[in-house]
Formats: sequence, structure tokens, C-alpha cells
Amino acid sequence: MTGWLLLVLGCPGDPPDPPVEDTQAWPAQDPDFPGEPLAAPALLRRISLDLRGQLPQVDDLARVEADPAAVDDLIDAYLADPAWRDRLVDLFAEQWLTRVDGFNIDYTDYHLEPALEHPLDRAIGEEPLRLLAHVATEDLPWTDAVTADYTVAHDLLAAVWPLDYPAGETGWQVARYTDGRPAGGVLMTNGLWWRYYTTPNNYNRTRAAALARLLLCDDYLQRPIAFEAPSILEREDVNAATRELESCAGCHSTLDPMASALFGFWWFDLYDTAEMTRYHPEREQLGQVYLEMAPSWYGVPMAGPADLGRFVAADSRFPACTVARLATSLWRRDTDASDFTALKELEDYFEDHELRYGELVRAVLHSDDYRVGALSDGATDLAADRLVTSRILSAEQLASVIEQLTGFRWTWDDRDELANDEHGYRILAGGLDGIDVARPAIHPTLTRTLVIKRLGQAGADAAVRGELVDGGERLLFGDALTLDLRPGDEAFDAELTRLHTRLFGAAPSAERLAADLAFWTQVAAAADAQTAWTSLVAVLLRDPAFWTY
Amino acid sequence: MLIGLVALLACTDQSGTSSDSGPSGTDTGLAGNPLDDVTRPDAPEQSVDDLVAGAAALFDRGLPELFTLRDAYASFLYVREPECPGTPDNDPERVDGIWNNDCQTSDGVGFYGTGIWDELEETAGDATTLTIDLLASWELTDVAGRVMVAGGEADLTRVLEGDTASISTFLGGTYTYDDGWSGWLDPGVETSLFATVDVDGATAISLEGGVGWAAEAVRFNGLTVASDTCDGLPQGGLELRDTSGYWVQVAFAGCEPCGAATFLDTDLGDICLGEALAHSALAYAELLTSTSVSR
Repeated sequence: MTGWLLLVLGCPGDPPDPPVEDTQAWPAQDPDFPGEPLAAPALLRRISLDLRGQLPQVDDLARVEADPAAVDDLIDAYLADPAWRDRLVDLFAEQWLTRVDGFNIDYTDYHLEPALEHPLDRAIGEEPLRLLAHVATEDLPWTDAVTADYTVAHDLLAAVWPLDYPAGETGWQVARYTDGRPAGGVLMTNGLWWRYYTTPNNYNRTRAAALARLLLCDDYLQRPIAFEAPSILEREDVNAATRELESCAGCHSTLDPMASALFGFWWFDLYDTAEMTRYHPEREQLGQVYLEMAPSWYGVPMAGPADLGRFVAADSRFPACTVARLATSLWRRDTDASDFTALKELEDYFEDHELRYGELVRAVLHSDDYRVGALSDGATDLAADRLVTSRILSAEQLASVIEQLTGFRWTWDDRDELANDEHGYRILAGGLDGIDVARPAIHPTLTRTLVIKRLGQAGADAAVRGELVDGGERLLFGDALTLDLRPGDEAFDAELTRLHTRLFGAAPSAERLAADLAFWTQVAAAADAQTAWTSLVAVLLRDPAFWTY
Repeated sequence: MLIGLVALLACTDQSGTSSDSGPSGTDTGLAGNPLDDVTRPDAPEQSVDDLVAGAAALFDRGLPELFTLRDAYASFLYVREPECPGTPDNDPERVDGIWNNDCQTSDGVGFYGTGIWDELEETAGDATTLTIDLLASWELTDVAGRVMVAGGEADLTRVLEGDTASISTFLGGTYTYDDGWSGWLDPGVETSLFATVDVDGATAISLEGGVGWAAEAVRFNGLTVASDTCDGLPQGGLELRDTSGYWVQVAFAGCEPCGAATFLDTDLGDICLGEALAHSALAYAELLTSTSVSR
């Protein structure tokens, strides 16, 4: 870390810097990159929202405006913030799609209270994501994500699954399954394979395809094939076709042997609690019966599921895929062949840093594609289509930032309304349910605008009522503001400027300030100061400058 | 594609990506392939004695079969009530029928889940054919509060004719009845066992698939037991699962009670489970052959 700071701060004429190891240099920037970077305050706002789901403090915005290099100190602080782990779970959820609203069994099958329906589903879906986030934030080698002999489990899961969970603890903790499943990190979690379940005629092929896509970025469904679908129903005939028809064998020659390594998760009843809850070591080699295939990894024989994580960890596509997935998360766009050089440099950096995820995050945060805030003069249309110069807050970011600012969390019947779709508004807010919607919205939508409107109104009401009326902790407003102050009062005008800076990352223009003052005055005249502040804050929270970054 | 993959794999330094110190890599025959660096343990985590004791205890509890499951299930259905669990045919002499409920009888017997038990016994000439098909996803609670859990599927076809018998059966799933039933149902079993039994003077048994509970599991790999061959000692493959997740393979050959055992590439010497396994298999065959389904 010190090394690159010296590089940034070093000046011509200074005494020669001590040699800096190559491994401490950021991946090279592209001199022909067709975009312009954000100014430091806007960059800090972007980084804070991406790493913590929260807006930066006004003091920190001022600090980086005065000293742009201070952004890196704040990155370190953000990566040490517990909010980073939650935020990382959100980012993983966008691609792993495990945070679904329901599984084949639910709280009733475990004889739990109805109030635990959503928390249980949430805990199941987050299990693999929490394990990934644990490895990432504990500075462990990323290969642990697929080789660890533990999982990260919530106490709700420990109550119903065969887990050795630390006594007296609650929430997300490192825990170990006691049902004989081999070490394999995320590959050996119930949560992953409850989401990606298989069917009696599919024989784990769907799961193998998910594994290859999620961990190697090898998407079997994207492979070009051409064939006339034969009409076959019997297992033996399907197996024969997958081996003998060239168009089938192209995928199934590697897919099926991988599927053969997943039969410890084979359920003889797809909706049975006992079957789904436990891993089944005695079935580990059942693939040789059903698929007539011994486990192998792209042609290399495996000794069974215990080999699975080791082979993923040794596959060079695993770190490359990790890099591509993180770049997609933070660049907010898909990567493609034109990103090869940038991704390869990031991958080299990742490997030079012993596959530490935090280091990879730092490198991506320094990439051109992450920091871009505008197109360069003369940028091509292609660049305009590719570069994401402004991002929109995700459903999870909207929820967390409104809570940070106002203390308001939108719940109904103890459910987080921006975290589910059975009763809530996750998809409407631009989120994904992992089944019907598999990508977050990257452009504003009508429903998202409506959700933000209601969320902003409720948040504004909570903040004004809690802070200015009831005298609660100041989360949004400065300490000097009271309902007695009026436009023209120094503290009133200063508060409005501070609010703009806090919410938008920049002070308001004179015109904007005048417009907001006029709006406040009109509402106060028609109603009162409380209503005026509530209305103004609600309007500010609907402003695109708030929900873009 | 393969050449490209090899080239990519050959370029990557994988140092520090494996925490195992075991020596056995997977030789792909491709120079520089990092998959060759995948290491595995060179010995089981459990001692051979522990592995043998675990398997012997498992054999001693009996191999899982449908009739024991049927008896336990029948002990609940025989005390059912018209509305609980509500099978279409409430004949208390029968176990077949379909139910789906969450209920308790007036005596306090609980039914939760779904049971589909299809059973038919027919006689034609001297031959009596019994067929059973089961789809289970239930929790049944007896009057003492003990819970029988069943999840899975099973089938059986048995033809008895004179002194001969021909049986084909499969039992797959998770079945437990803690403190509620003797044998393999207590403490329970996870199973994916395919078997055939033929009785015609001698008894011949073939076993395929797995049986166990958590890490204590065995798998039969083309294993046969014949009462008139090798003094009834097993022939074929038996595998014992180690807590490392890898399997110890035991090859029974040459009419010996002991089979050569290997763990991955490591020779473990002989494991002597032949007699225990033969005893268990013959008891299993006897139970499948002789059990009556009439109440």
C-alpha cells in the first residue's frame, strides 16, 4: 500500500524513491481511454456508495477535494467498514442469483413461526454469498471460496440444518456442516444447490452448468450448437445421445462428468425436508449409475466431490472469472473481448497479490472504467455505448442510503420491502429476484421512479419527525437546524447548502439554492415548517443527482 | 479448443492456491497443466480400524429394505382416523393409499407431509407377485412423541413360486425413527441401494449403491453374495467413506474374507469385512424373501 502512495505523491526532483516492487503497482491505465475521470468528491461518493451503500460524510468530501490522494485512505477505511461485507453480499447476489423469494420447502416444513418465512428464505439464499464475502473481507486466499471446510451460517439455519454453530452466538458466523459433506467452500453449501436444484431427468446437469458459469464464466448455454432435437425419453437413450451425437457431446462430454460429482446433493424427493436438508455421502458416486459417467474436470479424472473445489481452485479460469465478475459489478456493465487487456492486467495483479480479493477490489477501483465520469472529446459512439459514466442506485443501495440518512427502513409485516417481491417492491425498484429478473436495472424505469418517490417521502417524514420534531439523533440534519429558522437565517441557508453537499456530493448552484428556498417558503406558507422540510427533503431524494452516482 | 485451454492453463502461476500437503497429484499427462498440482491426502483421516468398525456396525444394523419401513409406517396407518391423515381408503388393514396432511389423531398420533404407498399382491398359478411403490415425504409422530421421518422413493417386485424367489428392489432417501424402531431405522439411514435377490436352492444377492449416515457410509460396487459360492463370502467391490471425503476401496476376490484396500493411490493392506457383509446380505435376502405383507 505504501508503495503506490509514494508513486502518487512522488515529484520530479525528489530524492529517488526506494525501489517499488512491481506487485505494488496498479494495473496500467490506458492512455487512449476515451473517458474523463470523476473529480475526487464525486469519485469518493461513487466509492462510498459501492463499498458501503452509504454517502460519504461532508467532511470527507471536503478532504478529498483538498487532497485527491486522500481517496485512497478512505478506500482503506471503507474496506474495513462492516458495511462493506453486507455490500459485497449485495454485489455477489446480483450474479449468483441465490437471494430468491422461495425454495422447494419453506418455514412450515421446519415448523417455524410465520414471521420467519422471509428471514429464513433470506438466510438460505445468502449462505453462499456470506461465505464468499467472508473469504473476501477476511483477506483469505480467494481459493478458500471453493476449498474451505466451513460455511458461514445464520443462527436460523443452524436451528434447522446439520451445522456445528458456535454456542451462544447469533447472526452470521463461521460454522461447519456435520453431515459428512467434503470441504468445498461455496460448492458445498445448501444455499447454492437449493437455488440451483435439479430434476429427476436432469441429473445435476443444470447444477454443473451453473457451477461452470458462476466460477469459470464458462456458460454452456452460450455455446453455439445446431441439432435436430431427437425425441427421446428414457434415461439410457438421453445418455447415449449426449455421448454419440456430436452436437450434444460438445457440451455434455464435459458437463455430465462435472454433474457426476454433484450427487451428494441428489434428492430422491425434490420437496422433502430431510432429503434437502442433508448432504448424502452415500450417493456421491450415483452419477456413475444415472449418467453412466465418472466424475471428471474437463477431461481430467476426479476422485469424487472431494476433488471438486481443488479442481476449481487450480483452474486458471477461476481467477480470470473472479476478475471479470468483479469488473462487471463495479463497472456496471458486461465485459467482453475488448476488455481483454484490462482484465488480464487485473488478473495478473490479483495473482501477484496471492488472490486476495480486497487487493483486487482496490485495483478495480483504480481502473479507468470505474473512475470514468464523462466521455472524452471525440469519443466514439461505441465508447459512448460502453462506458457507464453515471450509475443508478440499486434497490439495496436505495434502502441502505435512505436508512443511513433518515433512519427509515421500509418494512411491512417485518419484511424489508426493498428485499422481496412477494410483498415488496424489489424488482419495481430496479432489483432482481434471481428467477424472473436476473439483472439489476441499469437505467431509470417508471416503477423505480415511483418507488423512489414513496421511499423519499417516507424517509423525509421519518427524518423531520424524528430529528426536528421529536429531537432524536441527527442523521440527516445539522445540529443547528430548528423548525424556528427561516430562509435568510444564516443557519437555515447553511443547512440547505450542507444538505445539497451531503446528498449530491456538491454544493448547489445559486439558482438551485434560490429555487429550493422558494419551494420551502411556499410550502411553509401553505402549511408549516415541518411540512416544508418534509416536502423539500422528499424532493431532494427524488432528484436524479441523488440516485445517480 | 483443448490446445487453447492447455496454453491458458500453462501460463498461470497457481502458487499458494492449495493448502494440502499430500503428495498425490492428478497426472493429466499435459506438461505444465496446473491441474497436475491438485493434491490429495495420502492417507485417510480415519484409521483403518475405525473405518472397519463403522462399516461392521452399519452391517450389523441390517441393510435397509422396504419391509422394515413398511412395518414402521403401518404402525401409524393402523391407528389412523377418517380425517387424519385422510387416505381415500381408510381400511385399517391396509397401508396403501395417498395422503397429504398436517394433522393429529384423537390419540395424539401426528401426520405431516405426504405419503404415497402403492401395494399390490397377486397370485397366478403357483406364483405370488408383490409390487410396492413408495413416494415418501413425511414426519409421523407416535403417541410417545417419537418422530419417524421419511423422504425418498422406493420400489420392490417380488415373485415367490414354490421354493424359489426373485426380487428386485430399490430404496432411496432418508429414513429415521429415533428410539422408535429397532435396526437400521434407529438412528436412521441415507440410502441409494439397488438390489436383486434370487433364491433357487441357493441364495444369490447383488448389491449396488450406497448406505450410510453422514460420513459413515459404504457403497457397493457390483458386489455379489451367493450362498453356494465361496462359502457365501462376497465378491466384488465395497467402498468405505473416509471423513476426508475420499473413499477406501476394498476388492473382494478369490473367496477370501479379506479384500485388498486402497485409498486413492495408497495401499492400505487387507480389510476383513467379508464375513460381516455376507451375514448382513444373507439376512437381508431372508427378510425380503420371507416377510408377509398381510396383517
